[in-house]
Amino acid sequence: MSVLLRVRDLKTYFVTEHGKGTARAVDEVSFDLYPGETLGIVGESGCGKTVTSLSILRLVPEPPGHILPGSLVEFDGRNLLALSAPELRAVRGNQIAMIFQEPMTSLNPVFTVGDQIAEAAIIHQHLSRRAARARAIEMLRLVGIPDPDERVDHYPHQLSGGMRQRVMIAMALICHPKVLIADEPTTALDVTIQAQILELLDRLQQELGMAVLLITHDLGVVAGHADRVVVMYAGRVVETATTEALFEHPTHPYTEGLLAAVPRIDARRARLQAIPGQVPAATAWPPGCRFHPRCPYAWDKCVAQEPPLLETGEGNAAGHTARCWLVTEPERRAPKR
Amino acid sequence: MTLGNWFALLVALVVAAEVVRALRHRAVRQERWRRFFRLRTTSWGLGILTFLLAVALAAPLLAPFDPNRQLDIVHLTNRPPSSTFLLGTDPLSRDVWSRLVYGTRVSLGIGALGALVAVALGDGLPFAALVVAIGLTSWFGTSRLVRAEVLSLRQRDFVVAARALGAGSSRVIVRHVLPNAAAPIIVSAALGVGNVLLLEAALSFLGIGVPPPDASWGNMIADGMPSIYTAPWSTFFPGLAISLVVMSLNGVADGVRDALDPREAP
Repeated sequence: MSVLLRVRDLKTYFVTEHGKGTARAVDEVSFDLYPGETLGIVGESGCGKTVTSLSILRLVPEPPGHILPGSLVEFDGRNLLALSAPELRAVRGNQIAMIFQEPMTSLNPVFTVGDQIAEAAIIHQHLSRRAARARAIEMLRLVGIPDPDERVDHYPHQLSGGMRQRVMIAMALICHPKVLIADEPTTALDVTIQAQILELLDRLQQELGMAVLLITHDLGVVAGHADRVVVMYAGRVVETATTEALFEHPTHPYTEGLLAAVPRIDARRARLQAIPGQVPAATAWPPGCRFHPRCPYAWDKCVAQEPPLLETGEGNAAGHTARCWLVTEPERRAPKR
Repeated sequence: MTLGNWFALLVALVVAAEVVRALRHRAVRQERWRRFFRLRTTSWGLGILTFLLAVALAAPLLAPFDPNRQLDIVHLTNRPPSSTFLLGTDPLSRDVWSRLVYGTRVSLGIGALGALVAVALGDGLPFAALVVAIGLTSWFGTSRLVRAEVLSLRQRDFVVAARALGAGSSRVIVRHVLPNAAAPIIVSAALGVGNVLLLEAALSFLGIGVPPPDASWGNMIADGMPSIYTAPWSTFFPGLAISLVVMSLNGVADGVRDALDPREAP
């Protein structure tokens, strides 16, 4: 199968004020997205997953941010990072669409939801206002909003959080994009609404045949909805695998820690396990492996030299890679405490 | 005051009341008008402004005397209000009511135009010069306000969301930034009209505003000042008119802000 979206060596840096140096928020991130699949990107706050998603559509505010030359975001045979502004606008919302974390603030408060859903259709398909409105009603029905004929004239403040996220999805999907980037689409919602929204995304993905880049910190979401997973830490990809392989054989100690930190309903444990320490500042990543200060297995090699992404061969799943020296010296993985 | 003057005044009052009533009637059906009229001060402000506009337009019908004529400099100076001189006469024996009525044209006009700097190219030299001077000096506050508002809006999530949908800069500005910045801008402009009115009054009071003998509310106060203790009416009524307009503008500005902001809906 041919790659739909190819990201290679993506580097997005932020120049901080007062000469505190450069924040390397995204540092040589590479991954592929295939047609129709869901690729999860997981990591904790500050690992660079949101900046990665914004960089794909060049939505990173410049300045202070900038995407370094040598980065590649290839879609449909074209490097999005090299497109002119009008060419890029023709891709945004049309071929690649995006939904955001906060449905409360991601809708313009002074326009009706119908107006906002229709916007992309007016921009890209040059529909008349009347035709665009009919499309907007159709989209509202598609995303499961009751009474779409009435809701189309409502303002965002008249809708609940879950409804607003449905509206966001309708906005993003009105042009039937090939790729949907969903940046923490359910983080701001109640758990029950979360499940509904994720089910809706799954259904729409099937119906419209799009690929989804699902960005989340929630491993539960990844387990239920992603085909493959990219784990990010400190601006780097630290592990990539199919969802099954990742949960069966987590290789990078960070992934291992993340999985251990998920509360489980079927296990009695006095304390929830946590990864010690916190993500270091993006202006000063540690030398060597960026995870070594928090890693229970770290040895001198980890401080001296950063490992590349290594094929694990684990569970004979092709494409399972981890950025960890343990892949070459598995005997150092001490028995679990 | 002749019977004709009283009748014209009554008509102006009825017109103002009728305009407000008709607009409030729309509020029954239209959400936006309902929000506009949510505060009672808005209705009053709108009524007063409409009334004054009618007065300005119908000034010749309302004024019993030529506002600039000195009626009898020996016997008719500083007369108290009476049935002939409704608001009395000023130190130069001119009818205060007639001057107030004609002054409405100057003061309201200068207020509205001063707030719209664009009109500064009109002719009529001293008047235009005043408008230009006021227009050129009173946009700083508004521009600072707008700049701050736009800077904060630019970072908002829905602006990023619009760009992610493929909206270009002009579309983002016209559809997403300006409508959200409109409420503070309009309120500031409405308050600006009030400020301009006060500024005109102050300049005329200092003798560098509307040139005499033409009446503006500001130079009426200036003219009446010397005899403020013996004939307070020639300063009190123009002062009252200025306060009324400024307060009315504030009331209408509140209504406009509510009407433009759907989040204010109950």
